[in-house]
Amino acid sequence: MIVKSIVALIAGLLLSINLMAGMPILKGIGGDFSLNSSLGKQVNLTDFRGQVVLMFFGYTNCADICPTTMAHMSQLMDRLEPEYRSRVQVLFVSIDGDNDTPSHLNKYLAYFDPSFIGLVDTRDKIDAVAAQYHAEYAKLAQTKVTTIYKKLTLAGESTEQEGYLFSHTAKIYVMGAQGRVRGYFYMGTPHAEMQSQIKQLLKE
Amino acid sequence: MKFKLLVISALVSGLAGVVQAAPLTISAPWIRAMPPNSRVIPIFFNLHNPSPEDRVLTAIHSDLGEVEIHETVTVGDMKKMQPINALTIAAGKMAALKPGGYHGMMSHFTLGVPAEGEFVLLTLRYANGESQEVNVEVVRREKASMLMTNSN
Repeated sequence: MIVKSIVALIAGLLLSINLMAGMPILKGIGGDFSLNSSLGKQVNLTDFRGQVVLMFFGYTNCADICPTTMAHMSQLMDRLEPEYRSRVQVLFVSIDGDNDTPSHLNKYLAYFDPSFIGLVDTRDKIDAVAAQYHAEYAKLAQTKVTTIYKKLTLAGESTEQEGYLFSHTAKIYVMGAQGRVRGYFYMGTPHAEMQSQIKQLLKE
Repeated sequence: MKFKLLVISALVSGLAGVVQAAPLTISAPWIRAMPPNSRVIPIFFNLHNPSPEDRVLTAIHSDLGEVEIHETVTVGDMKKMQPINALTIAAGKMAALKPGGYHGMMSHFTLGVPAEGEFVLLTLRYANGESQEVNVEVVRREKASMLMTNSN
């Protein structure tokens, strides 16, 4: 009996420690940046201090992972109470600057949620942010790209840069009110779990 | 039992004059509603093969655009989507085209991006020369999320 209650006590303590530590600051990853955006102006990560930032690297010519993730986050926003929702910012960093112009991103993301912001810039700048966040991405070899993808380019472009299936990090970076990376969500993370983590980060 | 079935199907085939395999059952079809300026849309459904033979889906056709069969693959932390030439649905089994897995990718829309609530007629083509049609609704949000949860 005593043993049982001690075990229960320890289990309870461990659980509360675990909840408190829910999302520790991840060292050596992340940091501030400034990129051109779907708002038509430069956006700095520092613009979102005091908010939880959910950041995803993707591209709009992606049929499965990216829209599934965007729909998942759009549903999350719908579930959050207004006082929390206004303190959550979704950022979609495009790894396909050749096709995702700021205005294209703006229209695309507005369909999922008008508050979502798209970031797109020169290849060098996007690469730098991807490196900061340890977000890998790669254009797949031409040989693996099908005819349909080869045709999915903007009119008038040379055939050289056609074909752009990407492989990319599919996690959602979760940043706390101070802009530090606190962990990751995935397209399968249950909304309830996302909500409770976000609320906890906003209470800090 | 199996023998009886074989005899019956042999009889039926004999009568019909051609060997006709049992059709596959398509369930829970949906197309994710995408932004009007999207260049691609994903297609999802379950394909159940009640026949005693493997069936191979080789193409999805639509008059409204070009469709490829794709597979989402996870390598470590990375995900990529790649085209596949065929999808085998084993005898008596089900293949699921669902978010994060197999899916149809439609592009080059002849009449623009199909909007929420519209239906897209698809023709599924199989390696044995057969084909079947399915009319799929474009849906978003709650309905889509519900189906996603079910398929998980």
